[in-house]
Amino acid sequence: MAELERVANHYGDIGAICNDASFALMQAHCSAQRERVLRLSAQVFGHRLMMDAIEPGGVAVDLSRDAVSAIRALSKTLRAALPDLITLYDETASLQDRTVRTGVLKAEYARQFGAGGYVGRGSGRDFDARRDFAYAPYDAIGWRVITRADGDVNARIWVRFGEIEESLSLIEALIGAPPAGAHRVDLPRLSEPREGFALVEGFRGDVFAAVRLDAEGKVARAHLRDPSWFQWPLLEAAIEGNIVADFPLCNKSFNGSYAGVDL
Amino acid sequence: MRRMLIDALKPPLTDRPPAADDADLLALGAEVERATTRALGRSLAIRHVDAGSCNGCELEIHALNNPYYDLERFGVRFVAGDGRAHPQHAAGGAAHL
Repeated sequence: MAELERVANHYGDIGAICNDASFALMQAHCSAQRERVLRLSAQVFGHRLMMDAIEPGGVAVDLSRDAVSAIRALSKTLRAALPDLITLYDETASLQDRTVRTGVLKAEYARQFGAGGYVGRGSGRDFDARRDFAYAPYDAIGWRVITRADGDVNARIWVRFGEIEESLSLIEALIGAPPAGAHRVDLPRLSEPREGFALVEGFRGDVFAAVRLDAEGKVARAHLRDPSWFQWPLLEAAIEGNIVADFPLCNKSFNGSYAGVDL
Repeated sequence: MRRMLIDALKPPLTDRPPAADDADLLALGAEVERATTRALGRSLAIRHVDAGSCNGCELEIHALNNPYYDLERFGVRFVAGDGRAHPQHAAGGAAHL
């Protein structure tokens, strides 16, 4: 689910950034690719945006054989279309003129703020929760963390392209060898307070969640930290010195979460 | 190559509009069309305001302009709030106040 979500959002972002440079052809293609992922999500997880698909104890729906075939088929379709889209982006000089050297985020700032996701990795900050706080299934599978050094809008687009490719490989590998066991378990009855936290690599970057349950199993305390907390302030630095018309490109290349910083 | 990429969007991906086979829906649709044509002419420009939503609405509104749904073919557009809009449309917590 996480990798499909990553793919859908990276396509959405790449298309939107190009659209803001008036390159609507790229947006047409990327939004169509995103739509295919969303329709697949509705089909196999019950919701286009995967809402209500994850619940305490596991996931709401197990994958049927048809679902597995559908996922595999879509991954093949997306992979086949990707090289042409990359070429279209790479060989459109007027688009490159807008994205290269625009919205540069200094590596030093990315490091100071602990910026994750394509924002941090696009400025050379080599951190990915899937590797550096490895959790199943990423700890048992080979894949690459994508980084770029330039820190501009262009770099953040290239990180996304690279991550789409890696995500498709991950999806294909995981769908081919699903782990044994139930798709969800009932939570055990508690007799004492319990606490836990997790760091997970969402499409924007690392998401942190800490939860404390009381002795009856009710949530006593929860702290949710969206990756954009460490990215929004850096947008201010990245837009410095750029033309006003490039603000939307900078903003969309960050795609900071508005709702995530309201939590 | 650009030709190839434009060709990749053919045949049109655009879905057919949903079938209007519900009698109530047909009647309601006709009434809405009468009212909006009288008040606004043939097209509709909507201003969407995010009043603290989860962004799910915004994502799906953007999706309405993708090649599959292509909302603009019906004369409906989402526009920036600089006096171009006809009705308002809001999502999020404050929208329910």
